[in-house]
Amino acid sequence: MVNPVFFYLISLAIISTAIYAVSSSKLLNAALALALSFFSIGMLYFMLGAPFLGMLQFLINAGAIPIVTVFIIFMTQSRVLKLKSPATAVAAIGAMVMLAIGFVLYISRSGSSLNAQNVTPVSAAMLGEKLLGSAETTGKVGTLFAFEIASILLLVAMVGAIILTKREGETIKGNVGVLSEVEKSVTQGELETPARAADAVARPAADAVIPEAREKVVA
Amino acid sequence: MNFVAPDVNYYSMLPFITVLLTAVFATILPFYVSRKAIAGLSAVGLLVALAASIGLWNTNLSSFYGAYRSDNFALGFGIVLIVGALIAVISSVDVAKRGGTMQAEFFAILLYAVSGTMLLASAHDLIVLLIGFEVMSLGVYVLSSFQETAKSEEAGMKYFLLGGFASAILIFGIALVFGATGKFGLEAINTAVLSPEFKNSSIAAVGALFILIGFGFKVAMAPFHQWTPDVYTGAPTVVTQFMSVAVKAAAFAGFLHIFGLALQNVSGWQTPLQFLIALTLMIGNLAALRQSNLKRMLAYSSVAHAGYVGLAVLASPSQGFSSALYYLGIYTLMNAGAFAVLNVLSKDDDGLEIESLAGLGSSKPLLAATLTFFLLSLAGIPPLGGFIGKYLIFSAAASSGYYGLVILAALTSAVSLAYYLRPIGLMYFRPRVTVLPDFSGRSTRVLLVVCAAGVLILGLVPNAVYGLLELVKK
Repeated sequence: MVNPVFFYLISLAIISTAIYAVSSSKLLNAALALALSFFSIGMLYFMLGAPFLGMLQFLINAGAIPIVTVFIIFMTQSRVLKLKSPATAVAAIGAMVMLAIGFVLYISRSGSSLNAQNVTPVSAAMLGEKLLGSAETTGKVGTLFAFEIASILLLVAMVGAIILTKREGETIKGNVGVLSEVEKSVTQGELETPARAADAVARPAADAVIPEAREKVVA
Repeated sequence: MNFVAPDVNYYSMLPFITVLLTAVFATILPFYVSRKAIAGLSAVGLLVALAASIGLWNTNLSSFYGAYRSDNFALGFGIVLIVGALIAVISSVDVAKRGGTMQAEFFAILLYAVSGTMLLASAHDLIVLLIGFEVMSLGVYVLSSFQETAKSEEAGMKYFLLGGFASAILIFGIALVFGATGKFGLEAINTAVLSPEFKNSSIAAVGALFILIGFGFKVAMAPFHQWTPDVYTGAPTVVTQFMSVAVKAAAFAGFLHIFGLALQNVSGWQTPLQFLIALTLMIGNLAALRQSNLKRMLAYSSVAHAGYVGLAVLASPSQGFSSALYYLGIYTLMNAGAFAVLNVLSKDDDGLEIESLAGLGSSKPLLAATLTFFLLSLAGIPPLGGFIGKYLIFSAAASSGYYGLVILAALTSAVSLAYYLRPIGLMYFRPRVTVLPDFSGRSTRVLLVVCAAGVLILGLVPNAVYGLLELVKK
C-alpha cells in the first residue's frame, strides 16, 4: 500500500520542482527542474502500483523530452537568455493553488469523493491486449483504429516540420514546392559553422550572430 | 492463438480515405508537377470525397467496432467540411496573382487537416476523436504560419503554443472521464454514467469541464477566444477562411458528439457552458463593433457565431445536432464567401480597412453584391440562409428551456447589424476614396456566385435540405 510519508515527500518534490521550473529565470535550470518533476511523478506511479506507466514516465517524460529540450536550448543559444516574468508566474501559481484548494473544499462539502470507485488495476500485458485486441478476444472495443491513425498524426507533424523549417532556403516561386528543394544547397556554406579553428578565428563572432546571419541569407 | 480479423469496412471510410490519399499524393507530387496541377488534384479529390459522402447517405455503415461511424451526422458534417476545403482551394488560386504564392505543400497540409476534421466528425471513441482533433490542429498550425511574414509566423507560433496548452487540458479531461467510467466509446460512457453502480460523478464532472475548456478554445468561445483575432488576422487569408469555417465546424461536431452522446447525463458542465455562451455572444459582437479592419472584424464575428452554435450544444441532441449542422453549413457558405471577397480585394494578407470599401458598389458590382449578400446573411436578415440557421438554433435552445440565453442571442444579433451593415453602407452610399485591387479570377467569381446562390436557396427553401437533416437525429 501507499506509505503516506513517502507520498507526501514525493508530492512535495513534484510541486516544488514544478514551481521552480515555472518561476526560474534561467532556461536550463527550468528544463532540468521539469525533468526532476517528471521523474518524481514516475516514482508516484510506481508507488501506486503502475510500474509500466512509471517506466514509460521515466523513459519518455523524464528521459527523452528533457534531453530534446536541453538540446534545443543549447542549439538556439537561448541558455544565455534571462526570462523576465517570474512575478506573473508566481501570481499564476498562487491563483492555481487557491483554485485547487477551493475545488477540494467544494468537493468535500458536496459530499461526493474524488477517489475513483470501481477501478481495478491492470497489468501491462492486459493493457496491451485491451488496447490492441479485437472485440471478439477481449469483449471490449479495441483501439486498433486509433493505433492506425496515430501514424497520420506523425506524418502530418513530420511534413509540417519539414515545410516550416526548410523554407528559409531558396524556393522557386510559383512553380515547385519546398519539399522539392531538399536536394539543393541552401546557403552556399554561409551558415555552416567553421570546421577548423583557423576558420573560427577568421570569423570570431560567427556563433553569436547566427540568427542574424540566417535572416540575411533569407533576405 | 486464433486470429480474428478486425472489423474493417472500407466503404464506410471512403470519403476519409479519399481525402487522405489525395493528401499523400499532394505531398509527393510537387516534386514532379506544377502547383496548379496540385490544386486541381486536390479539388478533384475533394469532389470525389463529396460524391462518396452523398453516396453513403443513410447507409449508416460503421467500422472498427463502431469507433468510426459514417452515420448521417458524420456524413453531413463531412459534406460541410469538404465544401469549406473546396472553397479554400479555389480561393488559393488567386493568391498567386498578388505575388504571395502558396507553395504546393499548402494543399497537402490542407488536405491532411481536412482528413483530421473528418475523423473528428465520425469518431465515436474518445481516442479516435482526440487523434482527429490533433491531426486537424497540427495541420492548421502549419497553415497559419505558411507565409514567411513576421505576422504569419507569430500567428502560427501563438496558435501552436496556446493550442498545445488547450489540447493538454482536453487530454486531461478525457483521462478523467475514462478514469471515472472506464470506457472510451461515447455511447458506452453514457451507459456507464447511467448505470446504478456509477459512483464517480465528481470525477466525470471535472473531466467534462476540462473537455469543455479544450473544445471552447478550438471553437473560440470567450474567455478562451484571445488567440482568435491575432491568429485570424495574422494567418494568410485563405487559411483564415478555412479555419473560420471547417475547423470550427469540425470542432463543433466533436463538441456536440461528446456532450450530446457521452456526457449529457453528467451534471456540472451545463451552467459553465451557459456562462461561456453568454460571454462569447457579448464579447464577440461588442468587440467586432470597434474593428476598423475587415479581416479582424470577421474574426470577432466568427467568435460571436461560435456563441450562437454553442446554443445547439445546450439543446437536446435530437434538435441540437441537426440545427447545428444546418447552421454550420450555411455559415460555411457565407463566411467563406465573405473571406473569399476579402481575399481578392486585399493586396496582402493583412486584410483591408473597412473605410477603403467606399464606392465599391459602382466600381466592382459583382464583388460588392456578393459581399453584401454574405454580410446580410451573417447578420441574419430574413430571406437569406443565416436567418433560418439562427431561427433553428434559437428554437432548439428555447425548447430546452434556455430562454434567457436565446433572448441575449437575439439582442446581440441585433447589435451585430451595426457592424455588418456599415461596410454595405460604405460600398453603396459613399464615393470611392481608395482604389482597391481586384485579383478575382473566373473560378473565384463562379465560386462567389455559387456560394451566394447556396445561401439564398438554403434560406428560401429550408425544408428541402432540413428534411434530410432530420435524419441526423437518432
